[in-house]
Amino acid sequence: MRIICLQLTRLGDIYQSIPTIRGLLRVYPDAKLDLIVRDSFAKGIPNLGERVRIFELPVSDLLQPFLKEHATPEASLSHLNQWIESIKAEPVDLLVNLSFSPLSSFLTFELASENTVVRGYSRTTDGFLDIKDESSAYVYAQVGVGRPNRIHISDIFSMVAGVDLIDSDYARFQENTNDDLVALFSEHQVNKPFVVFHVGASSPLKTLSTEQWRQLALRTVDELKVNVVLVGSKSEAITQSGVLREGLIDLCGKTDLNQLRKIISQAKMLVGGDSLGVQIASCVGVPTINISTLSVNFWETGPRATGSYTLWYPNLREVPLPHILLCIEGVQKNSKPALPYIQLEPGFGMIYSIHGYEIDSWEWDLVRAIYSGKDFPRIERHLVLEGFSRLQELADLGLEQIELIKTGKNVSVPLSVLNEIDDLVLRVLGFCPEIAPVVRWFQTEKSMIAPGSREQVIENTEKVFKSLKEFCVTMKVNNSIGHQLGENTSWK
Amino acid sequence: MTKDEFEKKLSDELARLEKAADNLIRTSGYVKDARRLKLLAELIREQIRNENNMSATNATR
Repeated sequence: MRIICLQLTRLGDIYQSIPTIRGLLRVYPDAKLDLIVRDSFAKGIPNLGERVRIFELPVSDLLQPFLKEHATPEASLSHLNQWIESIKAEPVDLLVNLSFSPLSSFLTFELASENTVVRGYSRTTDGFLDIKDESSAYVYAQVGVGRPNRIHISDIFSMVAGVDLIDSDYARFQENTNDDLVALFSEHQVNKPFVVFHVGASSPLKTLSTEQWRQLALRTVDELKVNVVLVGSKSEAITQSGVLREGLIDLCGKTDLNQLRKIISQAKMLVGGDSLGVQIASCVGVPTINISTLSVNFWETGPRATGSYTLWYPNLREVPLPHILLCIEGVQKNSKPALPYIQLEPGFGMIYSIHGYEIDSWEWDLVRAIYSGKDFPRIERHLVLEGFSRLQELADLGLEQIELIKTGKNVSVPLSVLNEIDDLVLRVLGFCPEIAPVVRWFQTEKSMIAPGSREQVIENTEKVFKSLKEFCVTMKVNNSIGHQLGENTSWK
Repeated sequence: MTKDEFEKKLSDELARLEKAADNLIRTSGYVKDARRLKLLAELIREQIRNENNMSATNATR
């Protein structure tokens, strides 16, 4: 059996895909797995065993012809054709796309054959997005920064792949110290034990400023008497000399990705923004203090190593450094850090508990009601009740049009009304943003209706409108009765 | 090539590629070459987006 796993996002997501890759290899013990990644990230992937081959999507080679003065697509097209045919030379039984991007959906379609089972995003034969499973539909509708999802992305990956993960799939990598790391430590006078500060991130909005990192590092060394190793890219270096003072070593720009992983694996703790360092620490089992903010969703990409915490700040430029210092001290002494903090809990899916922060969970409660049958949340604002009333009216209008279409007479008018409903739903969303999870669910379910016979399409469309109506009715009834029943009871 | 020049060049090539793909779809249908031109267009589009480091990784999800 041959499995292809497509992971075309950044290295952090590749690391977060590793439990799923392990799960697939466990569930299919006779399978070989080919992991396709961008060429620029292939070298940073740890050894995943003999059954896993790494294939590089040659992004640089494919883009290069377009940078010439009189570019034509022929050279890139020819290169792409050869690459795709080489991958398809062996039959593919299962293709799992973990990337959730338009590019990956096109590539998935090209790599799959008639007998391939596909999971994740693909394309229909006429080029439209084809979402192959319910978990991917959930991603499309509810996952990402600014969305209410609270399920960790590494668990979402496993749901898309269709495997139930077990503890051993999350087990830490055992990294061996190699000679070049010993030489690096010796050259830069790195003394153990040490804490790693990962000062870099894919965006400056996701991490502290250079000066904040410098202050935090100096105070950690001075006040907590802990050795600190700074890692990141060359441009993120805090000092040119490499040594700020005894016990504080700046290795920014002096390590490759494999060395970075080995250094983190030997650390007592990692402190960093929501970025690659945190994801590597999760893989190698190093407790992490994740410094997070609005531009990321810590629920999705926060740390997973036992004993990890997230500290969340609305503005990373105004972070109180003593709070982080107290947390470092707490993790070091294996005690609870100072409030507020977000703690990793054992389990699957939603894996963090909140301590001392006020985080509104209304939209997340709504998402759980839609997807897993939990109780619908109480409506506290009249405008939200209005929003659901208007949505219900539109669902009723849609169902009326479907009944007219079923009669087969003059279907053009009801069809145009159905199209109008999409715009009207967006208008309701405009005055009531709280209903966004329901609207995105509705749009996604409609986009998943596959081409088929007229009867099938009508039937599936009717199901979506009926579910929309059911959500709205449940919300409203639950709300009106719930107020009479009291805090902890609900009609549903 | 500066970052701005790089993005401008890729944006121009993206527009050309999309036009070529649309022409092919119009004349020959959604055939293999059209699909793969679309794929290359998406590759360029993501490159332009990710070269702008203000975008979080999540933007490509």
